[in-house]
Amino acid sequence: MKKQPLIVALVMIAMLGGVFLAAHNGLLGFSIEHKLNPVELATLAVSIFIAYFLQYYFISRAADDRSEKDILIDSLRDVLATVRDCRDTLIGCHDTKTISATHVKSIKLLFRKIANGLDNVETALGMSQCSALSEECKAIQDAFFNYKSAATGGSFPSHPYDSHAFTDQEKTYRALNQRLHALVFKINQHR
Amino acid sequence: MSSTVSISKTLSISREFSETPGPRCKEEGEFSGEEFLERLLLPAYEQALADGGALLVDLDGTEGYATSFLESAFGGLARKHGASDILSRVHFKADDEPYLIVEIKKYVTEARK
Repeated sequence: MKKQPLIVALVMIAMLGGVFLAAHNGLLGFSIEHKLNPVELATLAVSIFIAYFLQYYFISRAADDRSEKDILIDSLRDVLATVRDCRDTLIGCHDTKTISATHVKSIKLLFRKIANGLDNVETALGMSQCSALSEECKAIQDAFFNYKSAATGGSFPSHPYDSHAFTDQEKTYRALNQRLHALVFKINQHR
Repeated sequence: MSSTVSISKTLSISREFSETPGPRCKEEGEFSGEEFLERLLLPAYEQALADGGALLVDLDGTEGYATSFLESAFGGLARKHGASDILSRVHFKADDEPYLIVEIKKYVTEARK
């Protein structure tokens, strides 16, 4: 892959050399003007400068944007993993029909981890090129509170989850997950 | 912290109540939201009210809060004194988990008398 630009450049130089030689010898209908026009020369210099400058500017800008997107997407990936861990813990409680002291501690810590992960994403999003997407955070925050409420509201932790609570948890889990995925896709496609 | 009323009383949940806040009601277990409301939050709020100041609730230093605890304590306070009074006179410190402030304000706003 890295040899391709070099080959293209060599082919272009060879073609230019061929045209120049043909023009110099009056072949194939080509001719050459043996006078230099300073305005045309300056225009050529400016064109070459702009071509190089724009190329480096856009490449560097695209790399910066990609780095920012990668940081945001990595942060969201961490949040998604914690949301999954939280769901697994809740399913464990539902399966055993108990909410042990260890479960309570674990559930509270996981929700704290999700909340702080979302707070980090919100802050980073505000500082990035994707700051226009900050408004998405409000809907994610609401979805998070709904999920936390479904898991730790009601009579938590004194009574085990019933099937209604479990259904509510699954519904709010899916809603939060969808919002997070949507934000990942929007960040990735953001221009 | 939008109000200009100065803090006259500070209440730290981890130091003055428990590092492991519990369920919603007293009959459900220790360190419930209801117990926190009756034993500490309501008296502290009423003292701040009498002093003409504001109450600062420090939420840091605990292992985390369940919705049931927060709704019972802060929603309960709003049911007694009205959401707008609580929002203007009670401030929060939540460096461990900044989202708790938004969450509590939601329960205060949504509390029904």
